[in-house]
Amino acid sequence: MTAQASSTNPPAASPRKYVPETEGLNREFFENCASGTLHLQHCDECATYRHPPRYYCQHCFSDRWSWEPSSGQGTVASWVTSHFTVDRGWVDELPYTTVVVELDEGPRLLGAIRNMTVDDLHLGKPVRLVGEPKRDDFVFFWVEPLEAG
Amino acid sequence: MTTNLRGEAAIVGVAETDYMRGADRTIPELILQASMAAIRDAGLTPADIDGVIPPPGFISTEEIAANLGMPEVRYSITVHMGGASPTAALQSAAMAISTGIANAVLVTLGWNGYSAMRPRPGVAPSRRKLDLGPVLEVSRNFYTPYGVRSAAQWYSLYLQRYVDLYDVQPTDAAEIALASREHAQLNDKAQMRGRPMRLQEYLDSPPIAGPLRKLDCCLETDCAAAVVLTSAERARDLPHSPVLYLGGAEGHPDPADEITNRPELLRLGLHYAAPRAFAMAGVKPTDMDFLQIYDCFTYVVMMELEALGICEPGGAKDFVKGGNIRLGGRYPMNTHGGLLSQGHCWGLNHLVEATRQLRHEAGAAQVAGCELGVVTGYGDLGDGSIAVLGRDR
Ligand SMILES: [Zn+2]
Repeated sequence: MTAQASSTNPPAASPRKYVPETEGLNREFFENCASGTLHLQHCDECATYRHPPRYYCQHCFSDRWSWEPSSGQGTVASWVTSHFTVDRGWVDELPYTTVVVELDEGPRLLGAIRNMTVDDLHLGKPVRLVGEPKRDDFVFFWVEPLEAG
Repeated sequence: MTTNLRGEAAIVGVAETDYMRGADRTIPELILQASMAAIRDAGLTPADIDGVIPPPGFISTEEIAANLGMPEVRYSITVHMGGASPTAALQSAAMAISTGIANAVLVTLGWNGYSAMRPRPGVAPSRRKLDLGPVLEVSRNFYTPYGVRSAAQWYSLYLQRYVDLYDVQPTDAAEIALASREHAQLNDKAQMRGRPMRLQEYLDSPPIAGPLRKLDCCLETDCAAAVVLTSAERARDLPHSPVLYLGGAEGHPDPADEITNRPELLRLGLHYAAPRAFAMAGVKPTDMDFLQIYDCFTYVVMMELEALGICEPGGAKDFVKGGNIRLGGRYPMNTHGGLLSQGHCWGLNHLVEATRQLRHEAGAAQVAGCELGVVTGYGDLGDGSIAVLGRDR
C-alpha cells in the first residue's frame, strides 16, 4: 500500500493480497467465472476441456471454443505448503497450503485450502473448487473437501 | 554444410566478478567488468567480438557494445530460459560461429540477485529489471493470487511429487548441499568459504516450501560472469587450451509456461535436451569426468541427474551417496561450490568452472587429468539446457 492510499483509507490490518489486472483470454476466463461458478474452456471440435486458457486446442488445433460450467469437483493432484513467503499479503497466513485440483473434466487448477488442513490431504482425495468473486474480472478459488459440501 | 556442431566452436575466455551480498557497483558495471575480463582472458579485444548474447533483462547488446567498444556487432540474440539461459546460449553461439555469421561471441550475465530482487531496508530498487518473459502471464493470473510466487514454491509443485514417488529423504538431498559446501572451502571466490556445514546444521535449517529447507536453496547473490567463444580453429592460436563445445541442447517442458497441467509432471526440459546433446557429442553420460549441475535447489539437482541419464529415475538419491559427487569420487559435481555455496550467477559460473577444469587450471579443486565434462542449466518453470565440453586433444 502506498502512503497516499493510507491517507484516504483507514489503515488495513495487513497488506492486501495481490489481485491481477487481467486481460485478453485470461480476462475472458475470469469474466465467465464472475458468478463464482467455475467455467472451463471447451473445444467445439474435439470436446476436450483445457486450462489455462489457450487460443488453439492442443489436441485438434481448433480455434473454436465455448465456456462451459464445471461442478468444480475433482481430486487432489498435488500441493505445496509454504513456510516462507516474499508476499506481504500472505505473510500473516504462514504456513499456508496451496492445492492442485484435478477436475473431473481433466484440467488442473490451483486453489487455497479451506475447511480442512494439510493433514487431511492425500493424493486422490475428493475435493471441490469454490469460486469467490473479487472483482468482475477476477475470481479467487478455494479448495474444500467434497464431503463437507 | 555443417550438420553437427560437434567441436566447431570453443570457449576461449572466461571471467567472473566476486560473489557478493551487497555490491558497490551497478548491474551494468558488473556485467561490463566481467565481459572485458573474459575478452582479455581470450587474448582478444572488444573490437574482435561481433556476437553478443546478453541476459534476459538488465542490459542490452547495444549498451554492451557501446560501452566496451565493439564497432561491428553482426549477431545478437537473447535466450529467455531463466537460469537455463547461459548454457542454452552456447548453442546459439556455436551455430553463429560454425556458419560464419559471427567470429567471436560474448555470452554474459549479471544481476543484483541479493540487493534488489526483493525489498531490503536501505536499498533502492534498480530500474534495471529481469525480463520474466514466458513465466509471467500464467503465474500472475493463476499462481501469484495464492501467494505462490517464488521459485521454491513453483518447483515444489513437482518436487513434492518427486520425493513422494521415490521416497527421497532429507538426508539424501543433504548430500548435495554438503558436497557443494565442501568444494566451496577450496574456492577463494565462494561466498561460503570458511563456513563448512555439518549434516545437523542442514537438518536444523528452517522449512521454506514443500520439501525444501533453507539449506536446499541457493544463495541470493550480486555478481556477473562472461564467456567468449570462437571457432575451434582460431582457438588453437589463442592463449589458453581451447575448451571444445562438443554438444549441447535446450529443452522445454510441455507446456513450458505452466506447471500444473503437464501430462508428465516430472518431465523437465533437460529430459528432452540431454539425449540430443550426448548424441551430438558422440559420448555417454558415464564418460563424463565431472558434472557441473545447475543447483538452484538440491532436489532439482537430483531430477537433473536422472534427466541426464547418468542414473535411473529415482536413482539420484543413491548416486549422490558415498562420496560419488565429491572431489576424489567418480563424478565430482559443482567443484566450485555451485549456486548453493559459491553464488548464483545463473549457471554461468558453472561454465566458468568447467572451462577452468578442462584447461587444468582449477587449482585445489582440479579433477586430475579431466578430458570431458557436462554443464546443465535450469530455469523458469523447468526449462533445461546442457553443454558437453571437452579438452582439445
Ligand atoms: Zn480440440
